[in-house]
Amino acid sequence: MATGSTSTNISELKKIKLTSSEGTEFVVDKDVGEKSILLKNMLEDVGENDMAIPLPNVTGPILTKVIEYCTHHRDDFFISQDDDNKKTSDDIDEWDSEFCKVDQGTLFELILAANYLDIKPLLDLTCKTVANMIKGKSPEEIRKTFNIANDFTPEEEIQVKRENEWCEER
Amino acid sequence: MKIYTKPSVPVLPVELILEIFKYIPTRNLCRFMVLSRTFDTEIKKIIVKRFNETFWNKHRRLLVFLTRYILDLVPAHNGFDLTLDKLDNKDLIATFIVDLSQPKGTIGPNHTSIWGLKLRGDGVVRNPLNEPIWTLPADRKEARIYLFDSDTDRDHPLIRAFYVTKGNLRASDDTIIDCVNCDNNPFEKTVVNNNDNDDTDNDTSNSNNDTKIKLSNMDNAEGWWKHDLIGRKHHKAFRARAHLICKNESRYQNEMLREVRVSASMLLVAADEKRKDRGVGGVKFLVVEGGQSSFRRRGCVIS
Repeated sequence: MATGSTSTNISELKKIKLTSSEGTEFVVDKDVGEKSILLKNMLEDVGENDMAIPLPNVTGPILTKVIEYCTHHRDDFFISQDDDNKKTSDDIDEWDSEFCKVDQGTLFELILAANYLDIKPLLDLTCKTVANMIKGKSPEEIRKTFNIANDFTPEEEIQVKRENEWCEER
Repeated sequence: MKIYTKPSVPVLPVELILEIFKYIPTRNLCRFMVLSRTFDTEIKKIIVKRFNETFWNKHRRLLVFLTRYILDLVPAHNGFDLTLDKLDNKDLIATFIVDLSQPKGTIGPNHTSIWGLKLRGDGVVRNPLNEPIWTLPADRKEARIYLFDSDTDRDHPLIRAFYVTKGNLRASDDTIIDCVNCDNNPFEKTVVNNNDNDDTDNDTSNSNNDTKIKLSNMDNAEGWWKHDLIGRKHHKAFRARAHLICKNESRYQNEMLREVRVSASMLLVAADEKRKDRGVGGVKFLVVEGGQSSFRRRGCVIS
């Protein structure tokens, strides 16, 4: 290490250990790991040590993808979109779009992982990607995609459909 | 032989599915209300939030463009500028009202003077906004509803009108609202005339024909509306997209539009999609006073 390194550079070189649900250990740069608010808070709470942080809800392949995302965006300043009333799914950049070209199961696991690890930009990205996938689907297809049980009576279902019949017209 | 086994796809909890739905445009979202009771309720909450963020803005307004055909032939037009009054969170019905203190011929909270309405094609309507309508019961009437943003200035004299919906208005003297032909009409029948007699009879018993709802008093409009939503003929009645409520200003059938109730989802779709009225006679722009010169520069014909 160069003696003249800035504190930022020192911070970047710090490593943390993560353990996936199968017990596989991952070593990542601290600044990459801290893209997860969950990990950031845990590191602040426990202080610096060499103990691996167990992530029982995240499998190895999904953790690999999450680390890939956080590494690519390590220099980005994440802005919360909570107050953005114009939530749009059209603003996905090229790298992110390629990153999300995975099967539906992986995409759903990424959503669960992003939610668990509290990585809002990854959650937004994966939700936008799924939103783009389902935009043209019928309600029946949506039920299958998300495993939703229809608990309307046939009469109620007809009524709700009628109320929203205008949506089919252009 | 290789046996294909479908990879197990994790099931997302409702909260995360709703997180995805936040990125779905309103038109699609409304189609998803039929998924289940939970999603019907939760999607309504998303729509209410979107509506509140979009429409609780004094410049976000409704234009109602009424055309009546005198003797079924000659069209005459009236325009009304309405402001949001309330939203029914349960039924997603937004109520817009005419501000009676608004100076004639102006729009919005800044009382911006309007020169006229530019129609699709070459037409221009110069009738001032918010003027009473002189009408006869037999006149055929149609209404078009638009959204617009009154926050403008001299440098931006053309205000685009975003199309919401349109339909025919029919009401007889005794304000029988006949739902029989609703299937062919994007509006449910509409109260245009108000009987000056203070008859409080609001017969919704429908003993002989439950597709007719009798309304004889302006004050009963609320009751009539509620009946529409929960009444036995709910399905037909709910085909309504907007209800325009007018009040007679005199015994000479001078009607003044007071209130419009319209689906909040439909308004959001119009705002999302910036819809244009492609129909003949549809409004394209509201033209601010002084903005007419821009037509001449562009070589438009003014009728």
